[in-house]
Amino acid sequence: MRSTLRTLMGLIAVLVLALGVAGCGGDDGGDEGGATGGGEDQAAVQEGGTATFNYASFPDYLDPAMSYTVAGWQALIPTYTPLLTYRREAGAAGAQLMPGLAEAMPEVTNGGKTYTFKLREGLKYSDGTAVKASDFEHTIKRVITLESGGAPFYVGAIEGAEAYQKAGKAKGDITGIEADEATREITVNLTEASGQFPFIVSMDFGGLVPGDTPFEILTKKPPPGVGQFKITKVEGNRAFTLEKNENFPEIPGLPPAKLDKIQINVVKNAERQVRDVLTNEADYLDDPSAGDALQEFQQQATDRYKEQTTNSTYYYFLNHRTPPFDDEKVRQAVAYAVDERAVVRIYGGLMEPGCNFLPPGMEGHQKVDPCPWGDPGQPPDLEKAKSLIKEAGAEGEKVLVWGNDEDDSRQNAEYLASAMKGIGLDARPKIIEGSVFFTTVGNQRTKAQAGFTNWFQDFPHPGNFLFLVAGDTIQPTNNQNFGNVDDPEINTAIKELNPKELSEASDGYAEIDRKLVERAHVVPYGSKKIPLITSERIAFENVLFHPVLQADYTTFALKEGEQ
Amino acid sequence: MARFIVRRLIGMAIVMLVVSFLTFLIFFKIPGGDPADRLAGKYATPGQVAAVEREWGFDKPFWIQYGNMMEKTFTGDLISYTRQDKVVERIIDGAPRTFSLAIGAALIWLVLGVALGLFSALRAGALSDRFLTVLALIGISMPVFWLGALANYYLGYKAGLFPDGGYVPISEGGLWEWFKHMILPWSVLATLFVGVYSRVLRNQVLDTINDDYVRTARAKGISERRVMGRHVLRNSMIPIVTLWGLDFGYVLGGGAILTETVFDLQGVGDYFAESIGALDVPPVMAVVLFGAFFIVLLNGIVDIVYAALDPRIRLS
Repeated sequence: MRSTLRTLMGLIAVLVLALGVAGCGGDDGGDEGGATGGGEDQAAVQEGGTATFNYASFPDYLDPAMSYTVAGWQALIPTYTPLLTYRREAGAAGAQLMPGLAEAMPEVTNGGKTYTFKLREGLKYSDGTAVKASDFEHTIKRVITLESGGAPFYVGAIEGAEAYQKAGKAKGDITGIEADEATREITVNLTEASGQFPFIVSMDFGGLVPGDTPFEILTKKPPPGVGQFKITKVEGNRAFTLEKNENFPEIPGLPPAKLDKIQINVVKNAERQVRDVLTNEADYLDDPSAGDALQEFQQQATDRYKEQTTNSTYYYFLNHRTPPFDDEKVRQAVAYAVDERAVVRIYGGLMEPGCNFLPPGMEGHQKVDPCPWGDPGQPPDLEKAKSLIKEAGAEGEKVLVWGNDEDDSRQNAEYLASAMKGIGLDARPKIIEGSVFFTTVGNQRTKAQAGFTNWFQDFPHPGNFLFLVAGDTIQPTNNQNFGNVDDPEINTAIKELNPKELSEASDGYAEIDRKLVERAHVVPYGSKKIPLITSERIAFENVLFHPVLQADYTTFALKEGEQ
Repeated sequence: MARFIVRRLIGMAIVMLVVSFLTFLIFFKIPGGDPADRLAGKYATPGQVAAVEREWGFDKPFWIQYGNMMEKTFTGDLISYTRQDKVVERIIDGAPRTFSLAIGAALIWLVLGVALGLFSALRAGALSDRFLTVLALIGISMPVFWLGALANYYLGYKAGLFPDGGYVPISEGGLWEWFKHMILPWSVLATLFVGVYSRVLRNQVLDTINDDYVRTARAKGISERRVMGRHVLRNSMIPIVTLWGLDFGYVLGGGAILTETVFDLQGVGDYFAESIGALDVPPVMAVVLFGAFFIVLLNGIVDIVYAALDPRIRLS
């Protein structure tokens, strides 16, 4: 997912990979996704109480069919449970799937094309109404009918979903989904076998809602769900309230919420967001941004500050179809010239430097060590870079480095342009408005030569990253493979690995990752780190910072004696 | 008077029409800003985009699109491209915050500006006048975002004298909480205007104080207090009233974007800034109209006050 756009792009391309995939299960994943919280040295806490959380902006939507941002998902994941979900554990274990509202992992038949789930018995929504097997189809229909950013995950993947979308009738039928209320069974027929389907089912778009939920965006009055919390109050675009859902059933691995109530307020001032937590006026801040106040927090409250490296990749794209980057030597020269230490400074230290394309917490990540273009912790080898530029005859070649007007993107584009200038290219930054950035550089007519980009995982599967560099995803418009990377060997490897279970394919993905770096197809420079900060009232060591779901609100609890 | 008001109302309508048309023109012509594409979402099929085009009239001539946008604005059906929520509801939601800021700050800068300007004029050349002149220049020179950040940090966060931002409605926190949260934003926003107003009034008073009619009033034996109050100040207030009308209308219409942002008030100005950042045309259009309405309205009121201050100005 693109952090800068918030609404995520490229999902159609994900599906291109998702389809044509055979096999089943796929409930294994991640190697060291998170290291924070959840488990060790649990503090004594009380049940109940109210906490106040700060958000920098109101989530995109408070409707599970629509929300596609980290802020939205963090509030909605404990509110709407899908059929499958992730184990609530830190580290690699957290990337493994487990049954959510389904009784067990699905039975996969028909060569990987049919998934059969069975709902747990006696499930109730937060308003007390019974959960029905047919609600799953309604849930998916809402995602498609409301034209959610999540729709491409299901359209094309599920038999009849595309026809349903084309018909444009909300109450129509998705032929590939069948429900049996008596047996509580839900059968999903796919157009082609897909190892990624269980991960898609576990996304919060599939968090079940009642069958009579209207086909409209319900941010102002979110529908009932099956989760540890329910949303009880939404105040304009500046506050909402989560309250403990007393109807939440016993689901092994999904403990009930500890807090009775979480009041979430939008606080836009970046300094105040952090200070509120430092002074205990707020108990948690979602995604703090680097700045003076965060530094002050780090110094004054070390016992309630941690950083977690996210499953994200920040990298520069170099367009293989446009001179001078159609020459591998020039791409290598840029890789040599980039000083990861300088890039880390742009992010105020909240960047884990690295040269892999697959992030550290992803299955298939094997650290490329040593980095072929120099140690990320050392100064760049500019002499080598200059000599490569000379060899390629690219001295003085004009280059536009694309970035958008959002914080890190602009500085990155400016940095890369200056680094390119330093090795003999005539580079300058081209900064455009954030909301049109990815569609502009993703349009082949733009011929964007180089620029900033990033990707955050939708789910912990290498396929969710590698579609960004797969030749068959190159499109004339809305292209996500900005560098037009089209390496036949890599393309074939991706196709061959997709049907396999992750555990079997891990080495293969690592090999693709290594080739991407060694051939300078892209220039990755690290993964974003997110600070976790809480007030003194919260038992910090109990908070689970999940490798996929991030902060797990159900693990927040007040220390004993706190009001 | 009735004819005057009717004339002003017609004038207001024309000004707002022109403003709305120009705003629509500017944003309609921005590159990469195809409104149908934006409304339909990132992954819309060509059919969906076409449906949005038909529904919103984007496939029709420019003036019909403009008409549609205006119709949706005034019926409250205008939808944000980015969040898909109703723009008018967002403006109504933010308006009490913006009004709280504007009304309080405008009263402070008017009262203090007039008092300090008059005091300065009466002591022209004295040490106190020079001191106030320096203070006024400092106030005018200090950017709101800087002064606001300092006030927030030192008076709010460090000293704990005031809340360091945020807004509490009277209905939720009571009058005192509302007042406490507004003191810093009012003071910071008013600082710039107090400097300007006091300088303008000081110079105006010094110009007027030696006019023939003032000397005549003094020659007739009218008391100094009456001369200053009824003749000098009354005539000197005309430019102040003009300025105040424009400034108050501007701030009331969401113009105090920086103050709203620094103090996290989340009013109309903040919404405007957010929408500009996302190139979200419908809220930009609506907030511009909202602001234009108050500027035009306040100008009309200023015209009426002119006549009260100076009988030589005839409303007819």
